[in-house]
Amino acid sequence: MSLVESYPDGVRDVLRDHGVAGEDFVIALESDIGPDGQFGRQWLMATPERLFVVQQENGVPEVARQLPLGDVNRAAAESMVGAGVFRVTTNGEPEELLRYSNAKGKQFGKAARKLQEIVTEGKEPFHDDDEEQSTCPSCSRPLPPDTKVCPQCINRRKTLARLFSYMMPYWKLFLVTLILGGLAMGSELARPLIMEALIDWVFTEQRPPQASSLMLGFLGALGGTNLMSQQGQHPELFVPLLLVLLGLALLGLVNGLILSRITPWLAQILTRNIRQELYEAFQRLGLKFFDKKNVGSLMTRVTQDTQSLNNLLSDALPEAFWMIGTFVIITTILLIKDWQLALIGMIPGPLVMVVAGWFFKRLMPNFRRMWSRWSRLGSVVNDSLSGIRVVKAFAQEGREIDRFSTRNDDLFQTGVTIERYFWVMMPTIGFIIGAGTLLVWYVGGGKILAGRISLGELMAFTMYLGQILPAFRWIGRLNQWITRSLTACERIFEVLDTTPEVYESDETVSVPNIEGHVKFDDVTFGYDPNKPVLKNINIDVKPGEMIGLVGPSGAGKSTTVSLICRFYAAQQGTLSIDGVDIRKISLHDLRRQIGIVLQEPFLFSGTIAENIAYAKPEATLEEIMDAAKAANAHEFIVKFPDGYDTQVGERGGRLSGGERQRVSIARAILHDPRILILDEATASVDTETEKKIQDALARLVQGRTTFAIAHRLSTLRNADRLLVLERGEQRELGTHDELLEADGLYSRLVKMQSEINEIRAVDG
Amino acid sequence: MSSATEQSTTEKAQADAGWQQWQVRYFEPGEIELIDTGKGVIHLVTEDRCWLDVRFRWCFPQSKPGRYLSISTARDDEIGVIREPAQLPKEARRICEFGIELRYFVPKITRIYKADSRAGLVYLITETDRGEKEFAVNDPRENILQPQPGRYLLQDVHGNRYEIEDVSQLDQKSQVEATMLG
Ligand SMILES: Nc1ncnc2c1ncn2[C@@H]1O[C@H](COP(=O)(O)OP(=O)(O)O)[C@@H](O)[C@H]1O
Ligand SMILES: [Mg+2]
Repeated sequence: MSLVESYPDGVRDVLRDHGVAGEDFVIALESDIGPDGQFGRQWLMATPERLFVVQQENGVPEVARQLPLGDVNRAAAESMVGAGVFRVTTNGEPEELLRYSNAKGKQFGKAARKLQEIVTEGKEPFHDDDEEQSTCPSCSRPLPPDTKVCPQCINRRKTLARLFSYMMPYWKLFLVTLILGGLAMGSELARPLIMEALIDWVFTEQRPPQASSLMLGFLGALGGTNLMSQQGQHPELFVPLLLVLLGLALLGLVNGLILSRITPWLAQILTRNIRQELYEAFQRLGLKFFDKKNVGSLMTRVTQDTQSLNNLLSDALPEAFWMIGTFVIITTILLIKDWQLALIGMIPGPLVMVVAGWFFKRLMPNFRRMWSRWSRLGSVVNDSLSGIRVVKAFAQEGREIDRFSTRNDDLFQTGVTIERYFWVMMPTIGFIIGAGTLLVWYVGGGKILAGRISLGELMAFTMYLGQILPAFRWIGRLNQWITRSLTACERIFEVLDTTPEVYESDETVSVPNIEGHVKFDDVTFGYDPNKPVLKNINIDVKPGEMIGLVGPSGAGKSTTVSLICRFYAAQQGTLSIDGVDIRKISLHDLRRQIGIVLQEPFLFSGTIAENIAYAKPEATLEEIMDAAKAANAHEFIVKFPDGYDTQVGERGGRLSGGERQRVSIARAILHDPRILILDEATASVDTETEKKIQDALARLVQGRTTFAIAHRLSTLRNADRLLVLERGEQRELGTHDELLEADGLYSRLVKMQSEINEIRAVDG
Repeated sequence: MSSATEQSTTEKAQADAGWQQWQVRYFEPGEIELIDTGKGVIHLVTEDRCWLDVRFRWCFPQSKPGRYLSISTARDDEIGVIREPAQLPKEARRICEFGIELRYFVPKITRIYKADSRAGLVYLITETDRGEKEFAVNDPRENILQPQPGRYLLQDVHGNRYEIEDVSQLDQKSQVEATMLG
């Protein structure tokens, strides 16, 4: 994302009058909100020396504000509700320069950081992230979040081609389906022709005035005679023709049976392979990828998008293939037979398309409405049933029933609307097709009476029309259907194409045995680079030292430890372990030697033993038990009927909070990390359990560099030093005694907590 | 330690840390003075001190628009709440409105030219009280809310917000297009 966008000539000219040449700009951004608060335009322009705001007066650009950058102390992009404000502080006084909608938020945020970098003379350079694009580069329409796939302009041919590349290993089978499909189509299309022959040659003696030589040759071969010269009926052809019909039916059956084995398999195997690749890609991606996306939308990719891909392969594409194939062939046959009649017969086609289109345009929003109302109804039911205890406890059954009844009525209304449309649409289309067929009978009948075509031909004609006309209902939809599936497909490819988290790179340094010397050197970090969550953190931690992180919630404690795990990378400053920049340490080495115990420990569904051995699957049973013993977990585990083989349930739901916590500590102990991170490991358990966990932790921290976060400051009494954070700023650093002595924030926190504890003691 | 000193220690800690205020402080209309610097920045003067560069936020922007306006510092510590901003003296009210205007940018949709959905997104071409706007809404279930029947709150893919105050007040064509909103 560039900070210099293109700007109109008028802007360039007015700035040239202020002595600025175009190539000097370091920032040239256009806002989408005008100075009057209406959607409009204004520009923020900056050279290394000066800052300008250009606004339009009756369409003529004018410099509304200019500032020497030397006077600027601070530049910030502040986000508001639905918009953002660009502010600068000059000579200590804050001032608003312009506003922009959130669509422009990222650019202006970046501009603010750029200005900040200039005014601090490069003392605060920032490492730029690869920013997400929010509008489609080719059509500049907004993109859906979490993806760069623009549904408006996906390249269908390219996506299809890529999809087919997955088919290559199975090309033989694919060829077979094509051939069989072709045969099936042939047998389907031949039937009306046989019927025609039956009527014209066997039941009547109405010869078609110009019977095709192909047909004559075919019948001649069947009957063993030269039909050209023969007049009258040919009863000898009756049985052979029926046999041919039977043969076609059999061919269709066999074809169908074989296809029914191959097509779904082919579609499923492709889907399976792509789903597998997608999941593997997910596992390789960095945390940052997942941060901005919600689990739901990622689940959707694995489940719905791949399902939609499967639908495309097993339904939409074969259907399209069939429709287009029969359409082309039948139209050709009809045009050759009698182009006038063919054109008349086709009249209902476009009509059906238009009418169906009209109805669908009205139906689709209602389908959407129906769908969203369904899910709203579902969430009402889900809410009140999963919270049924709360409902009953507060005696709110009546209110819940009302809530349901409103949703239920909504659903009823939409359902009625949809049904009405359907009940009108179907007969209307039926009528159009019926009327069209009547027209064919009228014109065709006239031609029969005039002796220009035969009865059989007319029959074949109407049969063919019957085969293709109903398809017109869906032709308009087919396109959308395929586009939708291809978009899903493209979203999958997008994940596959995202650069995975790099475990090793050229610059990677292998640190197989970390000593545990962790150093923060002026580290600044924000999940959103505009809003630093940690500011200029400096701390040098000796191997084996235990650091307590203290501060109000939201201060940035968890964020600090995420940086040590390199879940995220700092934007300014460096973080090093054993003197090596953490960005260069091989992720494998790093993660292998870091252990984390979180407030809400995450257990995977499986047995207790499996969970303890998660990071070391090759651990022996005795190692597992030792770890559990050290974690004060062994005793409660063996009390379970199934001991270590107890299933913990989804997310470990069958264990209590304290039990889960101790299992996760055992997991960390077994992992035997050099650097240990305890993030509020004891916050959610009772005092009794806390005591046990404390003991377990005390054993765990021995000889490891430890970062412990705790709300209860007493928990941190073993810490060698304490780092006090507030709003991402490092307020204090020192030992417990030093900090008490300093009488700062920490000492106040301690006093407040001991007061609270006194109250507890009195109450209890 | 006497209980009085203990009291003051706690208070000091609260004031400094700013994260343990037990009660909302309400300002009566005459109690405060607002100063507009003319540069998009507003200062607040209360009886005990002066606060530079304050921020305004509605406590209940949807359910109680126009009431309970929270004023906070640039660091987002709340200073106090005005129950009825409408009762402020004229000048203060103007500044208040200006401050709110700075914070909330929620165009009201007055006409929907076209609404259609493609690949899970709803694309809208609208006229708002802030000019014409074309935007797209993703995941309509999350981003199109109907707090009251007929009232819609929309959030587009960039996090911009829009509001339809009452869909039945729109013209016929817009109402048909609004079916798309669910
Ligand atoms: N994944 C995230 N994405 C964006 N912001 C986050 C994320 N995690 C935390 N934050 C924000 O960062 C700040 C610090 O959070 P955190 O480090 O979790 O605080 P603490 O652990 O001290 O309570 C908070 O304002 C929080 O809202
Ligand atoms: Mg935390």
